[in-house]
Amino acid sequence: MGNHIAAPALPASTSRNVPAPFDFNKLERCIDDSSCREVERLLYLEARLLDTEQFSEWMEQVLDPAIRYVVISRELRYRKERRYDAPTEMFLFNDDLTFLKARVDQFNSGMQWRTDPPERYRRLVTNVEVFLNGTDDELVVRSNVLAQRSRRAYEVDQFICCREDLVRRCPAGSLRLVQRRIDFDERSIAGRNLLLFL
Amino acid sequence: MKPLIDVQQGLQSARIYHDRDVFETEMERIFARCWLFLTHESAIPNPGDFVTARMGQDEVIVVRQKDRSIKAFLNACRHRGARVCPVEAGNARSFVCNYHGWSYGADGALNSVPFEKELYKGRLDKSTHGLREVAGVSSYHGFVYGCFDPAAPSLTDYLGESRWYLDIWMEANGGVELLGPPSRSMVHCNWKAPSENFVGDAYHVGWTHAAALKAGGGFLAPMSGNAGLPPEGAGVQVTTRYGHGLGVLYDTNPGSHDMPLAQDIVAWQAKKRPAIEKAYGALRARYYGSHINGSVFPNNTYLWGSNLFKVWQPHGPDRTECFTWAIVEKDMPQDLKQRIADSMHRTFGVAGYWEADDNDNMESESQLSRGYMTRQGFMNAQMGIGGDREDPELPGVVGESAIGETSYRGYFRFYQETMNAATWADMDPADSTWKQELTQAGSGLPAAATVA
Repeated sequence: MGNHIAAPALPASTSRNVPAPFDFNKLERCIDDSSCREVERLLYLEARLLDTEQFSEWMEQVLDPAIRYVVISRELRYRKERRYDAPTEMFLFNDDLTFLKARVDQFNSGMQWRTDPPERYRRLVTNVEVFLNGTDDELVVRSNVLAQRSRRAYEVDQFICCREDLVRRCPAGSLRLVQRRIDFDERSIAGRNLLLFL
Repeated sequence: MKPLIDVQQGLQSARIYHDRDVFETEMERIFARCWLFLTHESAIPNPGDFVTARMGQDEVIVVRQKDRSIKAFLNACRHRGARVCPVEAGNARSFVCNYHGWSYGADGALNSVPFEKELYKGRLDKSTHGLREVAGVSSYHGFVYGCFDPAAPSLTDYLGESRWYLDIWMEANGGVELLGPPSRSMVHCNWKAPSENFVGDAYHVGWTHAAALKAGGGFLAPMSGNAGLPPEGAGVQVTTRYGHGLGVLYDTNPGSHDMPLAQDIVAWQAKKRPAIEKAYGALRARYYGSHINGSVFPNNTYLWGSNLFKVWQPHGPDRTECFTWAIVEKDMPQDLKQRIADSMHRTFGVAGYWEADDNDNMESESQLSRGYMTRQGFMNAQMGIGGDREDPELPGVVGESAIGETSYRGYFRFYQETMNAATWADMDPADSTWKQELTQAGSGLPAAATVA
């Protein structure tokens, strides 16, 4: 997976197996085009599977069984706040494979009334940057996503975020998503809910 | 104003989900009058700690004072009305308006005005230009509520007979706290659509959440797709003087949590049950292990058992902002608290796979009321009408089944009372005619048939 030098160890995870943010300034950028293209192919495959409601295929072809999928919402504080020490973060998603599967099972049950007629999704994945983390079979990926959900006749909601992903080469040879961390920009979600995979 | 609620028939006009004049009256006669949830004391433990909150469409700052009391102020500068605090929480010695730099203390006093001497020449009375204080701030087992109306009954009296039920999970277990920060989202519905759902709707669970129940498992899963009706005696519904209400589904706590976590919660509760039973009696100890849905009138809702605490803030007749916190017991291990919070948000947060099912119903219920003909009609809350009664053991007015609309009727009976009342003096806390209005309702309807 390209030549690289050892990067500093990632910060220790906080509790609940929640992945810590990457310090992209300290990670070495991947300059191997074939690795970068392979990552892009994975992200585009994922976008297509999710846009076309192939959630079981998404779990099989994109997710690593060790997946940790986290979306954070962050309370608004002053930049210089020092004395108030309550947590700033809460977790809109903090799912492992079991919980992601429950969400997929809910959709596949045929009884999720809100998704009939079908919701239509379109995901635009951009600004893909690939980094080395010092582990041979892993890459760190930063990308921006705009997801649009068109629902019923009038509902059009847009969700925009930055993904911080860790991908790993699985024994079968392809790259898989091991962890995704999204620190969601919008504090009060204008689009009703975030019941979608970002 | 024109009657919006028919207590006798258990009906509500669809206008209440749409009309701007109804909404403006609600702001005056409900949100400027009733006790409204602000925060939990655990969010502001130290002097100078503050959170910002909403009371109807008014923004307020809630601040812990030097003497440890809590005060709340309108978050608007007394000069030109700009916001003085743009964040959600923190610790501050002063609040400085971004516009011209007027600076207020944590006690709301106007402490300094730039170039006061040179520009105002002694003619600005700073002592009368402190932040406008919310008339009442009071807390109940750590839950902090505010009230704009100095003539309102005390928070204790406002909660009234509901306290008997709230005490079970707010006090008997050693106390709870809210894990924050909350999640926030804007739902395109009227604020009453979710408030009424939480006050008394166990009916929707099996159908609306059919898919979530099937996929997520947990203690309520047998209800999926209306496959099973809770048996006779499986629960009870309650409504009290000022529109608060709740529904109990016995022995189904923890309701929506996944099975490994649910088992850990059951084990935790089993350790506490004997002491609660000893101090509060067997019935209330059973409630501790039950699932309780409820609302504190007007817009504060909770599910004990699924561990969520919400407030539904009106932004207009068709926009409501949902704030969601996790309820955890104070003495739980940190790890258990966090697992409960994560599980609660997974089910009932912004990305909750139960929550979105509900929001869809609340949005269509509200949005369809835009239709001129549609809103000439009435919403129906007649389930169980005629069976509501007083109970020797249970405070309030009681509906004797797990599923029914007793609490809807109590909620909207008070809604009408406060919308029609000029002041709190018209709503005597000692007046018990409200009980008769509810227990004698439904007399013109067909007689209830016996179900084999």
